[in-house]
Amino acid sequence: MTIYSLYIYDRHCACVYYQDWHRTVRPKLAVEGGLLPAVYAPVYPSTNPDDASYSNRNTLASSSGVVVAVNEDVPRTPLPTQSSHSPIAQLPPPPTSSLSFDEEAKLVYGVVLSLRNMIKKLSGKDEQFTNYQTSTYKLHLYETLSGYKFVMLSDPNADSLRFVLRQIYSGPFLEYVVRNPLVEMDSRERGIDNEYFRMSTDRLVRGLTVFQ
Amino acid sequence: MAIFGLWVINKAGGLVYERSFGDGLPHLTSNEYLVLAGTLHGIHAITSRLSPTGSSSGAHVISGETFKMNILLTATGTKFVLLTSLVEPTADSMLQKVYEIYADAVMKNPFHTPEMPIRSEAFDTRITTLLG
Amino acid sequence: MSYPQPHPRFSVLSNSSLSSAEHLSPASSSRFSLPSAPSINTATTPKPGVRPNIYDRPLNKTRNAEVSAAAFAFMFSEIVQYTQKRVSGINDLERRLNTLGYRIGTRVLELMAWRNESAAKAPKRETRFLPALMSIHTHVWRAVFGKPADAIEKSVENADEYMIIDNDPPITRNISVPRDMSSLSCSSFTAGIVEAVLDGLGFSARVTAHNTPNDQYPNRTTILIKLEKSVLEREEALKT
Repeated sequence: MTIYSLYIYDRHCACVYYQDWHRTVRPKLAVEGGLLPAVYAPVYPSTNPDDASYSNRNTLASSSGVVVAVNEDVPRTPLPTQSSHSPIAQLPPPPTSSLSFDEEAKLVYGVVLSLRNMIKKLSGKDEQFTNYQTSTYKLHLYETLSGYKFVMLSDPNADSLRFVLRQIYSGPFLEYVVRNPLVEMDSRERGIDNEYFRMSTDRLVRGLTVFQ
Repeated sequence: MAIFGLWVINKAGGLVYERSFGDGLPHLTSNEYLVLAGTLHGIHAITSRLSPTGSSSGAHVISGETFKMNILLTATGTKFVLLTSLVEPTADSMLQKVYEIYADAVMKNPFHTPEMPIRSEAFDTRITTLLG
Repeated sequence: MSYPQPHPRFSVLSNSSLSSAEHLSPASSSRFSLPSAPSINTATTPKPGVRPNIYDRPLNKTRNAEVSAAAFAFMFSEIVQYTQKRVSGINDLERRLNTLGYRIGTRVLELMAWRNESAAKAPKRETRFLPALMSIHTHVWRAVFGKPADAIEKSVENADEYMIIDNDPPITRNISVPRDMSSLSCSSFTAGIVEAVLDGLGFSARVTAHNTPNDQYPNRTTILIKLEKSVLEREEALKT
């Protein structure tokens, strides 16, 4: 039992956040212009230094004043995914997905949206699509009233994880995205990635019993 | 524990058979079912590419809040889709039996054209007996 | 089989090919004992424990002499499709299926006579119609379908009509005839077999197949036998 990855989409169909855990097939670098900045740094095709500094400044600014606490926290809950993945070029040659990350994100969104419409059509009422299962993974969806879609990929045998997605929404997301004045929500130009959100989501997911 | 419907989708994504059982789900027009089957065919192909851990099958089970779609993909590309309530532990074995009936009453019938809509009384009767 | 193979199971072949082997010159039949012959043989002799293929099995052993019903169903389906492409109507299709069945019937009769000869103490040939019909109902059906037919009936209206009834004919079990061809019975194939057997026994008749479903048996089929006048006259003459 494990959890593989988390995608968050805003109501404009754009992927605004991504995080992964036990994923063995690495996502491939997104193509230029295919992905918003501040979604997931390791796959962002960042060749523009201005952009990079801007995103740094954003995360720094948003966490100024509490940085000490964060640094203390880091060793206690190490983030191997983050620390080892950020320099993506230095990774040992892992199996890389045949899809670039932006394509992958679009496909996930497409599948989720089609299934959501199909379930609505079939049920004849406002019934939600909750999850689907293949031989190797299970995809869960939680959609907020404001149109944000939380998508999680887990082990195929996991129970429904909608409650986890709801927890991410009502916990870290509200706390560090909605209430964070430096996150431009609904901007269509930037993702919502910031260090606090990433870390507290990570902590929440790692604390789950299905996460091993 | 209820069965709402059965679809058979050919390897090109065309709906060749559709039956609804009971009133658990609303009955749509045959055109709407055709569109849904085509969508499902496409989604099924994509779901096998999104695996985080290497090669994967397409979706087996797609769940809503009150019902689920159980999908059996045969080696020849034909898909059998069974719409059931969320708790229906026999769905997989049912699909196997449907496949068996299909092999007998459809594929061995000289008046069936492969990949075309199924119009076989024997298939209808035996499906009714199985899923009622 | 143009080249006689030195094979112990040669005897299972029909008498005609056996006699043709005897007609061969002594020199060629002596080849049977040539030392080189076994080396040819080893390639074809099945290993112990492996079932001999269907051509090498003794003809008069009926046990295990069965073919896969699924394989036959697919082949019969193809036969019907092939035939349907080459005919103009239902009657034509039934006639062609009848012809195909006829070819099988003549062989079935031959085989049954041969099996009967080696098995029964006093093998006999049916000369009266009713015993012949009984034998078709039981023995022919069992040899071809693995079960006897379900009933024999005599027409009340016409003295020359008899019926063999099968509640669920195995060869049409998987066939759903479309509504617009509902009068078609693929059991015309079976009718052909019956016609050939009757012909071979000297009872000329016209045999056709008809769907006669009832509530319990939706596939119920009647094989209708319409005897020729000469047969009836002979029967009448033999009565005394």
